[in-house]
Amino acid sequence: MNKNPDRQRILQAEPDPNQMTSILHEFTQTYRSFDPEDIEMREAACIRAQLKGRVRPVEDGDLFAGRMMQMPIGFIPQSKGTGMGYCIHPDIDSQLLIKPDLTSESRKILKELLEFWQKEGTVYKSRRKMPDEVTRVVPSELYYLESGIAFVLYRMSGIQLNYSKLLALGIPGLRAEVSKYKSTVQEGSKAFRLYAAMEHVLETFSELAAYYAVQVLEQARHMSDKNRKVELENISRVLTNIAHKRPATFREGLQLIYLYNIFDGTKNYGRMDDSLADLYHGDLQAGTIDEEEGIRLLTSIWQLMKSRDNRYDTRLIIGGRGRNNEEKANRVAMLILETTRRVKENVPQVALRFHNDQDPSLYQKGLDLLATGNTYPMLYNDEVNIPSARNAFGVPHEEAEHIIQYGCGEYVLNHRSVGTPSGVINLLQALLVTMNRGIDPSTGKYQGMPVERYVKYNNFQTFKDLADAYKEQVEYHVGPLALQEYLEYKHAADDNAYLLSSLLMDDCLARGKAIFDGGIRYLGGTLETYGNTNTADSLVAIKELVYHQKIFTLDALNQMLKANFRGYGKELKMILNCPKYGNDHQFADRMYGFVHDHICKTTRDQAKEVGLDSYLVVVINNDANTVMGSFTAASPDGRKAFSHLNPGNNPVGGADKSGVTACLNSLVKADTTLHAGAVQNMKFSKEMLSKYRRQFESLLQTYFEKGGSQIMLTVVSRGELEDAQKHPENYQNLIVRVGGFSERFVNLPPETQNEVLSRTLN
Amino acid sequence: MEGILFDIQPFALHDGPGIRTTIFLKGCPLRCQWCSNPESFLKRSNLSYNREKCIACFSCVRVCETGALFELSDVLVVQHDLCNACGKCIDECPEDALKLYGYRESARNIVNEVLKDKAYFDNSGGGITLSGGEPLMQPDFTMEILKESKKAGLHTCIETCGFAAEAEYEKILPLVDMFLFDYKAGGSEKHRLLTKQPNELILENLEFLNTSMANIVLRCPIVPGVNDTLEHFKAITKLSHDLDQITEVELMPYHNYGEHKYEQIGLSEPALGIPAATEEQEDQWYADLAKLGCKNLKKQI
Repeated sequence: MNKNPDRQRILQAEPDPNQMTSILHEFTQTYRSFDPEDIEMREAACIRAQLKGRVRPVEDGDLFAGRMMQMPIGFIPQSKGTGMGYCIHPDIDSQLLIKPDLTSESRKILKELLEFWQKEGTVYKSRRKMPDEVTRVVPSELYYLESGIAFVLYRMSGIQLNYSKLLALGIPGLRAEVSKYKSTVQEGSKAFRLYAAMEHVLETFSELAAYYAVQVLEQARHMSDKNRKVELENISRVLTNIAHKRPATFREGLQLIYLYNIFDGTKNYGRMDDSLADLYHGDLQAGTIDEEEGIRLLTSIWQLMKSRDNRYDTRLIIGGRGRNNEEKANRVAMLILETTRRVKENVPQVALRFHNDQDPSLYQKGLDLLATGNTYPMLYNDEVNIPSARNAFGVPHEEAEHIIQYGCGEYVLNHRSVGTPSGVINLLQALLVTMNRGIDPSTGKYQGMPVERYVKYNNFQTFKDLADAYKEQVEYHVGPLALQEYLEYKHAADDNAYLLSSLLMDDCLARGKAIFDGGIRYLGGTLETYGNTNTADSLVAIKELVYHQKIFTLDALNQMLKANFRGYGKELKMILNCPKYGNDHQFADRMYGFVHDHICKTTRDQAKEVGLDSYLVVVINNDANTVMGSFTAASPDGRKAFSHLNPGNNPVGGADKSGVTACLNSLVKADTTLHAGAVQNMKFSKEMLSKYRRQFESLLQTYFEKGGSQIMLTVVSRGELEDAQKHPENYQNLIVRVGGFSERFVNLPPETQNEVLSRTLN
Repeated sequence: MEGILFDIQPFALHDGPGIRTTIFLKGCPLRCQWCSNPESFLKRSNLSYNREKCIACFSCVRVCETGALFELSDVLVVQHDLCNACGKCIDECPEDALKLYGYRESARNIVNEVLKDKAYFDNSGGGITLSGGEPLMQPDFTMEILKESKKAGLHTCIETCGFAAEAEYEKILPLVDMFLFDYKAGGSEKHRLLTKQPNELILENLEFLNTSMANIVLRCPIVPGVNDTLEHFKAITKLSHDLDQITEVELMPYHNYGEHKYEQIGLSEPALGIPAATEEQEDQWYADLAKLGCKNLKKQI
């Protein structure tokens, strides 16, 4: 690409829409020029063809190259919105189609391209191939637009690449390894084609780095500011080096990680303290870097991450067992924490893993950050999570040590497994529909399992009848969801090799297979569950008031819910006074255990049915709890119609009235060995982490010793949040944890702000 | 054995070392002007009525058997002295405007509840704290809770105003790891003015605990304009020197969070009605005491 004569013209901040159209056209032509069977080389060629549209210049203050955009139409394994290969950007209208300077000729071409890709895009193809047994049960993806028990998601997410390997080998080393494998397989075989295409994309990567190097040097030449000029020359030198050599410095390592990551389109950064440990240590030994310089470099990476705006991802893991050299890695981890303390942004999402033998200063530093109002690091307890992962994923201990999170808190085994959440289930909706024998109370329409299945439940004469019907309702959906996940991967493999990801995921190279074609060591999937706590609390109230005390009938309860409790103040009060999860109350916590164990085991058991290595529940949270809640009728836990569902594994906001220890005691009762991540959000007052730091540490220590898996903390006062709603202008920097991501409080929609406010402040 | 309490508060950080669970028992012999827990005064349950939540539906009136609740020109009137705390009205109220302070519970159940947090106590050096009211208004019940606590291996604190028979202190002495002993005002007359009781007995008990080698934290509520005087500070300083067993002197700056409760529970005494002490005031008081040479101050300014 450095040989490209019109490179000057390509590299502009905002390419002209007509020019972009011609790039898209060229990209599409490239795609069409290949035999549909030759997916590997087609992908390599497409990745190369789209670069012209993706690459953006280094901006003022950047210390690294890597401003690359996602194409309006292009190849990207993990797209914004839904996408998993060849895809159309969800914002194509605003990005391109409505641009005023788009000529009618361009518009015509674009329309044709869109028509083509709506047939040829990976997601579109997968949708069409999905069998009736899936689409009949889970027909919709629109969980944000309509009521439903379960939805499917067409996407791929959570790839965590082997960055340690990338840095140890560099691009040339990786290429050499690929070539070696290629020499062992028969020419023309599928494996051969894969290796050859991999060589090709690595060559493209080197060209990209070299191209950037030339560009930056060009920028340096026109730079009047002397310091910046030197800086640009440094950036250029780093790029030249990583194009052709193994990275030799911390800075080169960072550049390589970042550029590869954005080039591939993955969104998470793995165990950065581990992958960069040797390079940072080497620089320190050589005296070519100090801590301040390290922070300066990381700060620039943090800003680049921010500019990519993947607030649901951009995970970066530090600490924990299974790192190559803990001591060296801890130094990088401290650097990462200090950078996060200073930058104080909503990305990267730094998660700190810790274990009993780890240097305690890392954990302490983490708490220091939280005390000053950072929402990072999130804390993850190895002592619980490693044994849990061993059981949930069914892998040996050595593998379980590599459990890391991506996105909103889903676990994967670092560069060994994938676990895209391709389905969501609203357990509370499952219960409400079941109580109404198939009628969705929010729309009056039929939903869920067929009506004849209700017959055996004797009109819900006993609580067991109702609970069993609820279970069947859930199971009815989970089977097709699992199958959809498996088929989605399979369909993805029909069209894509995901070359750049396959290069750095075990055991694709050794097996000579692409990631979803049998290359990945553990092919896993996950199911997002929502309303878990509301469902448990609802079942408690039903059991207590309908079946035990017999204060009203189930039908009468359905009437109250339909009326959204209007005119039923006394009954609502009785419902609210029933025991609730989160109070260390045996009855309520056992009911939560029932809901939790049922959905977790039902899901887990589907893996072998459909051909996945694991299929596990995640009790994570982004803002889907608020969105899905807005289509869910009033529920027997006292929740009003269309209000939010509980976030993650947390008690229903405000229901945990017995204090923080009781809440934590409840949390640790849920079995952690059955799922791939369940998140806990808690809000603490500032005072707690400053004035009562010792007690606070004891509180966390005890929680973790009792089996606490993880916790995400926001340190804030309620008054501050309320005031921020009234005077957003004064609180631009107030960052809160929403569940799966952090965000500036003032940027959240009012419903989500209220949800955050409803959570108990400890 | 049963007694009457009005709250169990887990994760209490202000009532002794570490993470604790504080038990608030009903009944108090004093009537301190600044009291923030007026619901603790009586040794029986009492009704609380929050006018702001009331929607005047009068469903409570229909179930009230004593005539304590009645309607008068569209307004609910609560005659607290007629109330027998039967609690029927509370179930009827759709808005939670009515509630009862005080319920009976056995010592064993209380300690079992507290024990749910034992792991937190063990990691933080915490335990159980008996507070109130004045726990020694229910001496046998207090004794029973302490015994059960000790049997379960809990660290025990008791918060006391000092106004009880010496014999009661003698009885609980071996079961209490730390006395959080209130010292409110010097001079018996002034004490009577502020708390409705003289302080001779209190000082004798303090002396007794000191000679009995009890572990004492002296807790001094400081109310701006009431007892933030040089004379009082001098008296505190003197105690810190005279009594070897005082391991800590802690100031309890006045706050007014409990003010609204006075009217809600129908007390004839009005709340003090002054603003809460500020953090600067608190720091200043600690600084003043330090200057006077007070020993073992909790906060070093």
